[in-house]
Amino acid sequence: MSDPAATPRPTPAAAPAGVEARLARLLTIGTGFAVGLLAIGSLLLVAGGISPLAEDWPPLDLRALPGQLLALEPAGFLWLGLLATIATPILRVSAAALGFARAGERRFAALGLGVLVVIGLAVVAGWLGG
Amino acid sequence: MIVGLILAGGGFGAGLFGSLLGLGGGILIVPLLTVGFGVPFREAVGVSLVCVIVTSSAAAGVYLERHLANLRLGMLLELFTASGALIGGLVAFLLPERALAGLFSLLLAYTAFSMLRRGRAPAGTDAGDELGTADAALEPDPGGLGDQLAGPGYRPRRLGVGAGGSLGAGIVSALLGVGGGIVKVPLMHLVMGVPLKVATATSNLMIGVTAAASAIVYLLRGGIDPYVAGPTAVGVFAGALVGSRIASRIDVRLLRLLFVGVLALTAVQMAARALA
Repeated sequence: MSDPAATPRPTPAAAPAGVEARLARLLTIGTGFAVGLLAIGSLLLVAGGISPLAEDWPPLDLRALPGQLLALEPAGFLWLGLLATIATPILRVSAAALGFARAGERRFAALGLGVLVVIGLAVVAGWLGG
Repeated sequence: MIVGLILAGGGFGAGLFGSLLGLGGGILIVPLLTVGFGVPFREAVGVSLVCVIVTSSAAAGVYLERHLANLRLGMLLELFTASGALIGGLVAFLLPERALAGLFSLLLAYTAFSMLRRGRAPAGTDAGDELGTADAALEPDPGGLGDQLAGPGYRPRRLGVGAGGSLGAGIVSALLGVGGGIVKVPLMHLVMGVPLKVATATSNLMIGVTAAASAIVYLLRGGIDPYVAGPTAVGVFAGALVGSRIASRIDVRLLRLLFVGVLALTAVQMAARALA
């Protein structure tokens, strides 16, 4: 009869040391930053008397963004907030892949890289169809 | 001006009830915007995806801090959910809005049915963290992917089915503007043998990047209105925050039954829109 104590048990799925805490901080800060920008944009929208459903929205123009922010235009803050919102989970995947790569866990680093490739394809597909 | 405040208020309600009832905001935001405000379906989905990213990112931070999510399993499955989201994001712009509304009405009906069933289950079964097949799932596989994904007392099984289901969850998320937890949590828990709490936390972790993949397609194709998305997302975030603080003090049984009625009614309205 085999000794049950000798049977290898699956190890807990702990991520490399410190990675989860770093990712948690990144998500918290990223979300706070994004929601903060969206809140400022929404307040400017209300203060400016702009009716969200009645008016056409200005398209996303990255070159015009700094000027819109300096002029306190709601569109600038809202677009930047939306970009920060979308960027936050993508940064989380990048940081996780980096954490696994540093720990020498190539398989999970490659999985993170694979997700980033899919994100890149989404940018290309959106750009081509936009 | 008033409309901006009403949108934020509607978002607050969606975030609050979503948080209290354990639903993602998307299932509530799309009907709110389409039926309540007359926003075109595809634009409502784009806004909903933004709200889903905001709430899931905030919640995922907490889950990671508390070591509740299985990061490795999440990284494996999110490759498939993100791929599905990319496919769904592209298909969403090919399908007529009526077809999308019809699919959404089916999702609403399924959610209402699931909530009703959960409400009728005997006390204690909702926790569902016990796994009858845990021993079988713990057969050693030294160096294998299964062992690397294992957690305390469980090892995810049927990884191929999990990958396929995740791809489907990503497509549903992108087409209908929902997080897809309604697919991923039962998939991980019932099919892959992951404890319910871990499955919920890991699903939440994956939702952000899944929705981001399709939100990029919507954003670059002009499918996200910043004037609608801003106030709605801020409202949803605030509502979810309040909901998570008061959830333990509220008896959600009556709320759940009331909500089943609202979901069923909305499903009928969505179906009527699809058939009109």
